[in-house]
Amino acid sequence: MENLIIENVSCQAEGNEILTSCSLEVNKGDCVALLGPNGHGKSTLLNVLMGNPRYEVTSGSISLDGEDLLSMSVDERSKKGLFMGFQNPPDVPGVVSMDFFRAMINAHQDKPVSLIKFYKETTQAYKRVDLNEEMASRHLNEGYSGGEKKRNEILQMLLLKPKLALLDEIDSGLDVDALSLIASIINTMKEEGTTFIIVSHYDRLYQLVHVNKTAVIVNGKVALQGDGELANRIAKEGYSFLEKEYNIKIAKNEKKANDVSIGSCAVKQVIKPEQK
Amino acid sequence: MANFYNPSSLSLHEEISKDEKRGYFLKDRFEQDNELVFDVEENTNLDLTLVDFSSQDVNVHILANLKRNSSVNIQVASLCSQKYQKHFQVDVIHVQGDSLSRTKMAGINAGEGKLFFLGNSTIVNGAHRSDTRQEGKITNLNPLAKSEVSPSLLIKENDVKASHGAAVGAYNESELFYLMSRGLSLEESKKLITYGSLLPIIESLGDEKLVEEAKNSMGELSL
Ligand SMILES: Nc1ncnc2c1ncn2[C@@H]1O[C@H](COP(=O)(O)OP(=O)(O)OP(=O)(O)O)[C@@H](O)[C@H]1O
Ligand SMILES: [Mg+2]
Repeated sequence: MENLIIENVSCQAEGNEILTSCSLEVNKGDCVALLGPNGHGKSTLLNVLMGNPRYEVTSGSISLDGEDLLSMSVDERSKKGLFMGFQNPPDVPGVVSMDFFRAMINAHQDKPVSLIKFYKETTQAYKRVDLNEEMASRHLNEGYSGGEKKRNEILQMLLLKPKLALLDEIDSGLDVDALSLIASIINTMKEEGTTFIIVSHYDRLYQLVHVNKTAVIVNGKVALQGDGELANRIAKEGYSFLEKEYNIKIAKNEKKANDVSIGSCAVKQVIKPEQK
Repeated sequence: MANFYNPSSLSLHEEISKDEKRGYFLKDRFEQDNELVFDVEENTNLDLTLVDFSSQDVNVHILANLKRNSSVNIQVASLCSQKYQKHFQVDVIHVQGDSLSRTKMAGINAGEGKLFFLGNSTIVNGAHRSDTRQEGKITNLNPLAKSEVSPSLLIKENDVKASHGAAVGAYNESELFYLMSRGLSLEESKKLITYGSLLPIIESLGDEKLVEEAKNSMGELSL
C-alpha cells in the first residue's frame, strides 16, 4: 500500500454518533500510535476501516491507494491487504482453527495452498508466537486465555502478511516476554514492508516498535497529531495537557456519563456534556 | 462402533450392560414416532450418536436411565428443510449416584418448518455426586424457520453438577465479521459456521462415507 486517506468520516452505531468528521493520513512504512481516552473512538475507527457492519458511515470518505475503501466488502478489504487484530476476538465454536486458517490462506491466493506448505507455515507461525501447535485442532478462540487470544491474532497476521495491519490493544493482557516477542514480530514485518496502526494505552509497545507518528482520538476525531514522542508524553502525563496546551476539551461520552466516575478513567479534565 | 444406516424404525428398549458406542443415520422413510429407552447398568458407558438428514417429519424420544457410576454421551445432529416438523426429545434420568451424562444437540433449520430440541435431565433423590450437562443450538437459515431449544434440569440433590446451554439464532454478526475480516466471503463464512456446528457430531460416527454424504447434503443448502 502507498497511502490510506481518511477524510471527515462520521459514523454511528445504534443511533449514537461515534466518529465525527475524523481525518487521518497514513503512508507506506508508517508505524502509527493511535491513542485516546477510553470510549473516544479508537476501536470504532479501526472497525470502520475493516468494514464492521455494526458501524454505519454517515459521511466522509476513505481511500486506500486511491481506491474507495468504503464501497468494498469486508473480505475484499482483507484481500487488498488490510488486517485487523481484534481488541476482543470472538469465540467461534464449531470452527476448527486449522480449517479456518486454511480457508483464510486460500482466500488470498488463486490456487489452494498445498498441504505440506500449509503445515510448514502454520507450524512456524505457532512457534513464533510461542503457542502450542496442538491448539490448531481446537475451536477458534474457544476457551483461550486473554493472552492466547492475542497471540492467536498475531499468528493470523503472520500467516496473511498484510500490507496494512490495524492492531487494537494487542498488548493488553500479554506478559512481558510475550510483549517483546510480539514487538519483534512487528519489527520484522515492518522491515518486510507492512504499515501499522497500533492502538495501545501503554508506551512500552510503542517504544519497542519505534512508532514514527502519533494520532490522538478525542471525542470521535483525530484531535492532535505528532511524531513518536507525543505517544511517549501521553503515556507519561496522561491527556490533561491537551486542554492546557492545545485547547482540546475532552468531553465525556454522554451515554457513559452516569455511571463512570471521573477518577476511573484516564481523563483528567472533564467538561460535562450539557443536558439535553 | 455399531452404526445403523437408515433404519426403518428406531423404537427399542434395551439394557446396556457393557460399554457401547452406537450411531444412527436417518435418511428416509422410517416410522415417524420413535422411542428409544436405554437402561444403562452400573459401571457402563453408552455413547449414542443420532444424525438426521431425512426429508420427512420426525419425532424421536430418547430416554436413558443411569445406574451407579454409569455414563451416557448423547449427540444429536439434525438438518430440517422445507416444511418438515422435527421433534427431538432427550431425557436422562440419574437413577443412582456417581453417574454422568452429556447431551449435545445441534441443528440447522433451513426451511420454513419446525425444529424442536427438548430434554429433561433429572437427578433423583439419592443420586449423589451426579453430573449432567445438556446443550443445544439451532441455526435458522430462513426467517420463517421455527425453532426451539429448551433443555431443563430437575435436580433433587445438592452435591451434583448440572448445567445447560441453549441457543437459537441466525448467524452471529461478530463471528461473521471476524471470519470475513480474514478474507472469507460471506458465503464461505456461513458455511464454515454452519458445518462447524454439525460436523463434529457426524464425524463421531467414525464413517468417512457418512461424513461425505452429510457434507453433500449441507453443500446443497443455500445459505
Ligand atoms: N456497536 C456499538 N453500538 C453502540 N455504541 C457503541 C458501539 N461500539 C462503540 N460504541 C460506543 O462508541 C464509543 C467509542 O467506543 P470505542 O470502542 O471506539 O472506544 P475506544 O476508544 O476504543 O475505547 P477503549 O480505550 O476503552 O478501547 C463508546 O462510547 C462506545 O460505548
Ligand atoms: Mg478500544
